[in-house]
Amino acid sequence: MSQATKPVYPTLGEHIGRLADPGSFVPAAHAGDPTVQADDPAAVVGGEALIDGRPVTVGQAGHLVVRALARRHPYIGISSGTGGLARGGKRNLGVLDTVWGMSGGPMLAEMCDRLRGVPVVSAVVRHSFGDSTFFTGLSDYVVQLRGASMALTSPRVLAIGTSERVTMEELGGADVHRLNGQADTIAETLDEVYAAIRRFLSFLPSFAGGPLPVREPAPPGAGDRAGPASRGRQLIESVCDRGSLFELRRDFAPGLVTGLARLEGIPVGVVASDPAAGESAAAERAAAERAAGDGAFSADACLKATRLVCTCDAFGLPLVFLVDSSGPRNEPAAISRAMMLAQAVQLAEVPKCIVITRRAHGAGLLITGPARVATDLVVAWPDARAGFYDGEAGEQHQQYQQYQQYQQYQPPDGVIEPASTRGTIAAHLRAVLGPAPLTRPGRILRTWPVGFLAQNFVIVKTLVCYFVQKSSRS
Amino acid sequence: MGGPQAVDAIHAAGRRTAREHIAGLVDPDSFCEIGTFATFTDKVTAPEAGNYGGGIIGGQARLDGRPVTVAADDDSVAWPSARSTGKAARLYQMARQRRHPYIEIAQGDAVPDLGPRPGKTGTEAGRTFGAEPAFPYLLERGRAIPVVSAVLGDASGASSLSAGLCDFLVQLDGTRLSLAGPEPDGAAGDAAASGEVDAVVTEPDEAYAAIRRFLSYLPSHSGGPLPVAAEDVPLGYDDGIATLVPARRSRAYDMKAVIRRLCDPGSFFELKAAYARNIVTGFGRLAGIPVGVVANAPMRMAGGLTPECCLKAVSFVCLCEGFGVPLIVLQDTPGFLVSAAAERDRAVVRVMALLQALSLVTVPTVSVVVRKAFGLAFVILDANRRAGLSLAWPGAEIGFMDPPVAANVLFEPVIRELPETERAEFLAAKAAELGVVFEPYGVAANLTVDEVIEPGATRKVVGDYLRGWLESGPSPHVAGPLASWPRWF
Repeated sequence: MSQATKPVYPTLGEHIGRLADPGSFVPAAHAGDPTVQADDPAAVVGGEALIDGRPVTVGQAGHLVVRALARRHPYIGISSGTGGLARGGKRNLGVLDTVWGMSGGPMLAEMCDRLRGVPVVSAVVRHSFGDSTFFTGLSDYVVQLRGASMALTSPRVLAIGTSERVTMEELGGADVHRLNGQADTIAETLDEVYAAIRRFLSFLPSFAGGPLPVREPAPPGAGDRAGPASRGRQLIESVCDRGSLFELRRDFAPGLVTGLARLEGIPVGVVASDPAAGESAAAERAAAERAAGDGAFSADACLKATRLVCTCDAFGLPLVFLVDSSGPRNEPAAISRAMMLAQAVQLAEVPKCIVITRRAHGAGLLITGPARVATDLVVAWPDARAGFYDGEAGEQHQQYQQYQQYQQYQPPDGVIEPASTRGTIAAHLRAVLGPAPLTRPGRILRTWPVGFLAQNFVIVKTLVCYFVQKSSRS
Repeated sequence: MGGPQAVDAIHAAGRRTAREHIAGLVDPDSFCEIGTFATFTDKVTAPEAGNYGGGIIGGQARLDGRPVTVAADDDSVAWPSARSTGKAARLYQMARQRRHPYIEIAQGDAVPDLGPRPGKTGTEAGRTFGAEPAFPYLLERGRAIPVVSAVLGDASGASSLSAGLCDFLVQLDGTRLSLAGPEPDGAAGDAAASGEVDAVVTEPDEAYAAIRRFLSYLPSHSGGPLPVAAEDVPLGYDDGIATLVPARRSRAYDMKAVIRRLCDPGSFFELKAAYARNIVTGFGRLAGIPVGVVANAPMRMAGGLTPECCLKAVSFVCLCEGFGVPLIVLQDTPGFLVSAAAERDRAVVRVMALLQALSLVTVPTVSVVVRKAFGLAFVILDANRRAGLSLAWPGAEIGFMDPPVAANVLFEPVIRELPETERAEFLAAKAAELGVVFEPYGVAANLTVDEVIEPGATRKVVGDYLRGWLESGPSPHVAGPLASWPRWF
């Protein structure tokens, strides 16, 4: 996309036409939004539509989210491209209540109050700043179109305020949020954006507490059943319905695979260690992960998994953990992040199925250990080992050598053959899933932050800011 | 404990035993030990009797007259952090049941060179891993009682876990706190640099004092009465506070001096002082009432907010909400610092988490704009969205963006048309126009700010507000969802 030609973006109406079921869109009136200019021909602010036959509300960024909350169905925000400043600021200049209004205040309040009551999706399909970005930071699922960007404010404000000169792409492009985990999916085309949204919603009930969208069971994929060396995705393939895995945040903390999938038709959240992560050239961070261990349940991986656990608990999806974790790692905030994930797993009230495929050490053990035995399934493959430290990494931990003998781990629900993993989980889910919804309003994880507060590998040590110095010379 | 030899080795290393730490921490003669005769349960590898304590020394005690439960790693036995007796878990549950603070002293790895000592065996660990330390109970604690973790010796593994689940983490300088054990290259996560540690001390005695100080601001349990100081500190006018804040917006000043002046003398106790210093968090007292203070610090990056600032503030707000401590927010910030580095550092979700946290607060909140507050930062830090009290000093500037930057952005098309020589003048004029609009009376007109007050009246207005709240019977405080948020992310 050349700088010289201004790209032509689809209007919101066009987006909805391509996203939703044909002919299902019922546009809303301007819905009392003061920032929309009534004489703007492209001022469709959204409305209701059907996706796979189920009602949703679609709007510009966070506009109209209150309608979805009231109707108890999903909300999809299409980034509007501008913050409040460019949209309403020039007109409203000097009207001081716009501090709240221009920051998207009413929308932010609704988003903070929603507590994951309905699924909220954000599609970043053009450069978005200000309230479009704030909305994205409060969404359950973020899909970003390559070429579009998302940042708190625009490169122009940066140039004026701090003299930092960056492009849109450098500031908040797909590669930025692909690696820092703020985008769940990167789409190469608009059609991929629409497909990703439809796919994400296909796993979730329309509202927290609604019935799970169970489908016809499908046979498992042809993943590698050979055992220990299974890569995370193959392992999921072999356990879940064929082709059902919808991976989330693939390139962030690649040592852990997270996603939504189906198991005998039942939607589940799935977490699997991927000991072989890093072979893909695309995953730059994997190199660092590999250097420090296998990356499963690294600090970032804990954040990655926590987001999934919170989403699944809020919407009542059972969780499946396929654990192969080599041990704890010393990195900044490792303890807190591991504890956060352990807390999330402990506080999640949906059924949890934990399979130790090879090793459960460090944070892998922490999420396994305190599982609620009464409701959860904890099994291990033959020869699986568990313990806080890996006894085989013995030279480093000589004093723990003596504990090698407990490596033959006896899990609460027994040892299973790898080939029977799917059957065991399915039987458990059938046994515990009843007609009652798996969520309740008071559920703690529904209130946890929507975006997780991951810290970059590169800690920003000095952030020189000329903002005030420069701007106060007047 | 592990016998005289082990104790001698601990002393020779210049360290203190578990019982010595407890004696130093709690009120004299108040320690009432339980589980003195607990031993490691696997007799195969621990055949000798006499190594009593089970890796943890603990029991009930009093701290400044208030009941607490304390548990300390007994580093005179092998790998005490493995804790096969389940004693820490039992002690935590007792504290929870009695609704008073639980204090854990972590030093599980402290003396690794004592040679083989009796300890738990692998078989035992394999059966019971994860179920023995207080850890599984702490996961669901929801800030029901204050939990303190004091790292007074090297700690890793199970001994380190409470550090990730406590309300106050104090670490002795020079000790290693890590999830994994020591690594060959000596690498370890620096907990202080990552913001997890609330206070770093150089002596165990300092750690004891910090724990007493921290707990002095909190009720014994969530929903309990706040420990209001007995002495009556008058709430007079104090015109001197205004002199601490230079009128010129670009001049830096020490926000902590403003906080100290606002709070009762000597009552301010800062947390995480070394981390994200452009925001200050800590406890204080106003009219004797404990308060949590969150304040921008213009000495550092002009008080601009980084993603780290959001983490620090979220963590502190959750703590205050958990125990019903009112919040005072002092604003003087140009806003969130925007940069490519900040975006890479996930500015978006961190800023939004701060917004979410402050939206979920149920404790009374007072915000005061002492000089400037712009854009989203103001929207987030302002108290009146949750029916708190929002105040501004007369010289405050409040608006959607710093005026000179705003002028530049808003009038960009106009500026482009102007001759080079006229641009600066035009911008200055527009910025000045905006500056007038940004005076606090505009936001006071539509109740975005509840009142514009003289700086000298701040202490009285805030103090009266808190007294009124306390008298109208706020307790028992029923903590909102923030009580169950993680302590750190």
